[in-house]
Amino acid sequence: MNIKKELKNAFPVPAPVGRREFLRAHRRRELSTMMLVLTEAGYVRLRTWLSSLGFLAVMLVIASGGEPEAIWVSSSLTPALALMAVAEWGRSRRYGTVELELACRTPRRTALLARMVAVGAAHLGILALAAPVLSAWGEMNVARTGAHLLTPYLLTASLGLDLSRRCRGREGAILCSAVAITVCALGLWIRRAWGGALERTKLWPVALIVALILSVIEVVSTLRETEVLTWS
Amino acid sequence: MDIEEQYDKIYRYCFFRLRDRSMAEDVTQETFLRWLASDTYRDRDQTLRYLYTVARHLCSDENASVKPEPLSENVPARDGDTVLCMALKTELEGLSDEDRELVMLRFANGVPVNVLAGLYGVSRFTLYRRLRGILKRLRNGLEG
Repeated sequence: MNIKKELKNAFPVPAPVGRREFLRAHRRRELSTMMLVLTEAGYVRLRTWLSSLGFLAVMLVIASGGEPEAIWVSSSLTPALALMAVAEWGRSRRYGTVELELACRTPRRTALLARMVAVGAAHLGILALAAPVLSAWGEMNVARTGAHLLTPYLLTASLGLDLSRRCRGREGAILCSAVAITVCALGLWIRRAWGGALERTKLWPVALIVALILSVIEVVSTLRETEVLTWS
Repeated sequence: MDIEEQYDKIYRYCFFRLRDRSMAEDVTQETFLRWLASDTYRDRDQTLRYLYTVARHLCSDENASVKPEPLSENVPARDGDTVLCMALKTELEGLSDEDRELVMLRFANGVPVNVLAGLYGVSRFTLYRRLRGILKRLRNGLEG
């Protein structure tokens, strides 16, 4: 005997009369995804936006010099940009702003994703603006310049997200900063050690794909962890 | 989320609480009007919790002002009702109001356990334990 199946039919009701008319007459005002992201963007600190724009300005100034090294210097700046994105996520975790947002508007996971999208999209926009300018004054095409800028950014962001999940508070912040500095130094060291040879290889697209995969894995893991925290 | 399906489920819940078709439909529509006026609840579980919480409060308000009638007067027996079904209804009558409501929400309306836990203010584990106890009692009643 399947009692659960029987219970499903154990509470009969007379058919509602005005359901169709009611639902036809009333429609729900949905909070669109764009509105949600824009709302979350409003919670991000002003200094984060200003610093991000500052990075764009610095990249453009470097590009305007017409130096062949400009792309490498700009590329080594992107980890700092990624660090800002990770710090923004760390801040909401540290001060519980995500939880507050959960209580009044959307689920924690949605709020977190919207925040990541807001900051990440702004940073990608900055890199997308810088890439053609650097390419015009440099020696590489736009796609390759974009890959040079995006790879260290994604690498720092993914490692930073991973570390911020493992280490909390001050320790996490220090480790994330160390990762950003390491990636930054690594970029400059690669240029100095293998610069010419590297230009001729297909290493950068491969590095970009690896960084992209790592970023997706880390974002998914972070969102999953958020779900686990909600349950516990 | 299928709004029509949820409308039917909220209506069933309201009917279960109020035992009057017209009042149940009024309260269901009032519940949905409140939800439709809000633009914040996006998550399915959050929406369900919101709908059931509002419906529950509105039903309590109605119950406080109107004396409920017996359920049997408003719900005609269906042609397909089996002996088992009738016995189950008798066993359900033996449950407390809150246990019967819980069974209706979980098994007839299919409300997720985490939503019910939020609605009743208990942990999921407590709710699972309580549901297991109720099912055991119903099974024993049917077999005994």
